[in-house]
Amino acid sequence: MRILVSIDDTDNFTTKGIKGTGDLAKNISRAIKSNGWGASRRITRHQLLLHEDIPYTSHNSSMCFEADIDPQFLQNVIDFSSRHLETESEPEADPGLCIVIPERLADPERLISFGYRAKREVLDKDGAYALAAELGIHLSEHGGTGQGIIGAMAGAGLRLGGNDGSFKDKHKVGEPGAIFSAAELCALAQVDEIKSLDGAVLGGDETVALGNMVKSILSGGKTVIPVQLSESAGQAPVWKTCSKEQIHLLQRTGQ
Amino acid sequence: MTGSERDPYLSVKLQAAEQASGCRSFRPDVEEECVTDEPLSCLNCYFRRWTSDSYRCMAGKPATTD
Repeated sequence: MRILVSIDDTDNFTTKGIKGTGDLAKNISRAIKSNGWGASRRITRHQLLLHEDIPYTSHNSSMCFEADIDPQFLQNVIDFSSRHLETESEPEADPGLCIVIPERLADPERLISFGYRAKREVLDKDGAYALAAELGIHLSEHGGTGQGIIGAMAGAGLRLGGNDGSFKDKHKVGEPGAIFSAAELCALAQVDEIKSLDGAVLGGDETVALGNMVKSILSGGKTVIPVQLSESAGQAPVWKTCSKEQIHLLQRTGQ
Repeated sequence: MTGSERDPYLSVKLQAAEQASGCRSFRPDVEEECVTDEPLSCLNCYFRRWTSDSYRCMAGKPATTD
């Protein structure tokens, strides 16, 4: 059974900065595997609205991953995730947990739409709980104000939509300036496609130079490395992997 | 997917790098929350708090770019 596990708001102003929300998501993902409940896919980070009306906005991003689990272990995943958020989140955080079973959603578009609204508007907990109840989604708070349920459910919706978020961690495929064909880079980084910023999928023999970092994003339901045109004067184009700033902008603008 | 929009936060990029270089409270945020390629920048600091078009420093210093 395919599930989406999404968490938000686990860190705060006084934290020592050792464990971010992404680390907690990774711990839950690993527990699913180590306990034999199933297998997880990579974690995505989803940028939500950055606005002063959202208290102490340090990130306002949520972390989500897909997992294929044996249905008999669904409650184990919920229980473990809940306990983990309660014990590992910072004392002043407002953690929230959302677990979605996509195949049971009567109207997935409503969840996806909620995710996109959370990138543009300040939403409230009542609306999140009402939608979760209607759609049969697990939504729970695990400390503080529980405000994190909003971002947690938004993250699940955005992951389900398949066109938002960047994958956690960088791809370690080579030093800046190294040159690969698009096919080689896809194989090395284990991604589906290399795409230009205007959405064109690179052919396998096109040339890509590594920038300062290589990150992938979720686009069209696929794992994609975004690139920009580096040089093309009079010769075949050379593409370059996008900078951290460009990746951040893609996340904020919803790609 | 388009990279043509301008990111309002990056309008303070130079200032954020300058301020962080002289700041004793700077602490890098977790990797996935860093937004600029300049490692030492208020934009990548754990103590920055975002506003709609800029950030505030919450490390016990006066606000930096309100």
